[in-house]
Amino acid sequence: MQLNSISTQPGTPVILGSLPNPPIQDQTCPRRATIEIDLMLLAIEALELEGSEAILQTAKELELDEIIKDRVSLWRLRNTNPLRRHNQRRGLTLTEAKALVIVGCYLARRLTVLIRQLLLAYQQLREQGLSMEHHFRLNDYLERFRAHFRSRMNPRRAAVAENYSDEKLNELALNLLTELLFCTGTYGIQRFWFSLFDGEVA
Amino acid sequence: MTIQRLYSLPNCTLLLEGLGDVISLGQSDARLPMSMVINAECRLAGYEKPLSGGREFLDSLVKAVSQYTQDLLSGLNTTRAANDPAQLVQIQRLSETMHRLRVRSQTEGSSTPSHTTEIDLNTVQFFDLVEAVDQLLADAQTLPDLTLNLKPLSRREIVRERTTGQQIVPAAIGVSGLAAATVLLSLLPVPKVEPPKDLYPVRGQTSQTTSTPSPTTAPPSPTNAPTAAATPAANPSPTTSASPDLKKLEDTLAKSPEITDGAQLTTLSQQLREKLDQSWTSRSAVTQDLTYQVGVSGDGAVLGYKPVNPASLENTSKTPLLNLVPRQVGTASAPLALFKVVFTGSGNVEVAPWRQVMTSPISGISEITETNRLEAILPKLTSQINQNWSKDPMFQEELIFKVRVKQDGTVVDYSPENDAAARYAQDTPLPKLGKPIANGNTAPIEEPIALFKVVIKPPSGALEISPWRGWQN
Repeated sequence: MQLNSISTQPGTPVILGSLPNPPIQDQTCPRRATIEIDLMLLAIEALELEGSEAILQTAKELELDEIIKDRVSLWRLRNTNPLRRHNQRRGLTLTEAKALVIVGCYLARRLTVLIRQLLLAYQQLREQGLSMEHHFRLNDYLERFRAHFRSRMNPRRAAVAENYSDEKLNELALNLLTELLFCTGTYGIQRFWFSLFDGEVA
Repeated sequence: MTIQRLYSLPNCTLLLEGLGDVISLGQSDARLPMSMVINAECRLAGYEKPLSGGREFLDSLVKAVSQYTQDLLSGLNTTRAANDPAQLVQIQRLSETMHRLRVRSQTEGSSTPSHTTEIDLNTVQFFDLVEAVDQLLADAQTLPDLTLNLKPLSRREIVRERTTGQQIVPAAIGVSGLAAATVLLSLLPVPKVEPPKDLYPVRGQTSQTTSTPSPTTAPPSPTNAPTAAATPAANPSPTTSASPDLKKLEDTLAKSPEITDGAQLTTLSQQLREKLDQSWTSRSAVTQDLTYQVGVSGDGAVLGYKPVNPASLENTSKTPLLNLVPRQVGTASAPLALFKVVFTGSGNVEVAPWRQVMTSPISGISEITETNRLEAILPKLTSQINQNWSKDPMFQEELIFKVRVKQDGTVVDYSPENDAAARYAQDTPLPKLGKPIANGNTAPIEEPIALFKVVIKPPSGALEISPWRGWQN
């Protein structure tokens, strides 16, 4: 967490130094982390129309385009998520994971206002016992998230099949919205990063 | 001189009053560091009375907020803070959108009964509290000893606290559907599949090695199903009973670590070929190619084998394999080299490292990789695709496909290799030319095939075709 954890490897973008390596054995991400990171980006794409373009653009601005080079390389990184239809069966390295997390959190920060609005709307609808369709923008987000999820995740996977209904996917989308809110904070990136390794360290 | 610090967010303000330990040396305008806190006051929207206390309260607030946020993000455990009654501040999840902050007032003596304040916050309000805390932690001029202190929860903490959590707060379960499902899933063994050198997964019989019980009611691992179906050996067959130890022999292949060192593989490959060649006495009985996956230990001993086509399953007795494998199959975990062995109908033995040769493990058909042959096929593929557009391309992104083609240019099958390709496959000429490769699609192919990478570019559908493994030099 402290400064001495900043990577001194030449050619490593400095910004990655804000995230220390977790005390895990190998240099690849645990399974749950690859799922979480991909889903978080999926939620951003459901919030922002040109989400995947924004991911590439932000990677460039943050000088992370050595890691996230183009559409194909982004697609490959995200398909390390084992739930994907086109799962790559390769691991996501810690460096790649850091880059994705940093880009995702920056995008979330840009969407702070919208995220707060949607979460407040969600809470109000719940209090009034109304369905999500009553809020246009929230409904829009949920619809897009469901479509993205269904078109990209492999329904043969148990975790996907069990969460394929509209209700389950809405629940997931709203959970992710909450996660995104916490990513927007001063230490949001770090908090999200560490949570990815919960239960993975000895 | 007292110093004040204010961290103000829409739903939460955190006010600190404290002292600095350095005497100001005329730098009246400089922001003095606060090294000691006298009073911390936290005002939350909707509650007139602020929460307040000294350093103990502040430390406890920071800790509770940090832990709870981490639980919220990982979705793994929602009761950790509540488990520590010594803490002044505790946070508990009430519902998807509500979070309860419980603050015990500091008691001066044991005689005073402690008073607990409860404040319910929605997610956005709670986030503002987290953000106020984070701004304080990030502020190096205020309580520099108070910094962000995060670390991932250990495996042990998760497991232990999940069980106690279930007993204490049953209502807290079901908080996040997929998060929980994801955790359960992450406890299941990851189906071990060969790296995708092939279009078909090679290894169907993944051994369930972990003892983790699966509380889900679903079949233990439906994800194994497609790959298992891809292995003919897994099908019940009358001849299986003739060689009862086949299952064990296959298990040997599946469970042992693999030798991948190139030089060692070459040596072992030669040894294996000689051994098989010498001991194969019933050559004339073999009328068609029999293909096996054979596992060999580091010292060259044959440890196990697996028939990869129906003929090889039925005709194992006509090969020397049964005589070479050990009678007693132990739980071998020694490193193992995998080879593709073909006993040809013409009486030859072919041995090659498994990973290098397999295109279609089902048929044992070799792949076309020679440059001149690929060059001959490529234009045939190009013209077929170009001639079969039925409508104008509508897609905006590049579509990438893996396409398997016969020597004469006939498309056998194809698989989309990016999301756009999966979405727009039906709009391309490919469905007319071949069938999609499904996981369970194992129809054997009778002749060698070539693998191509086909990239279709917007807006006009321009083609870029190259051999899947690049051009040979």
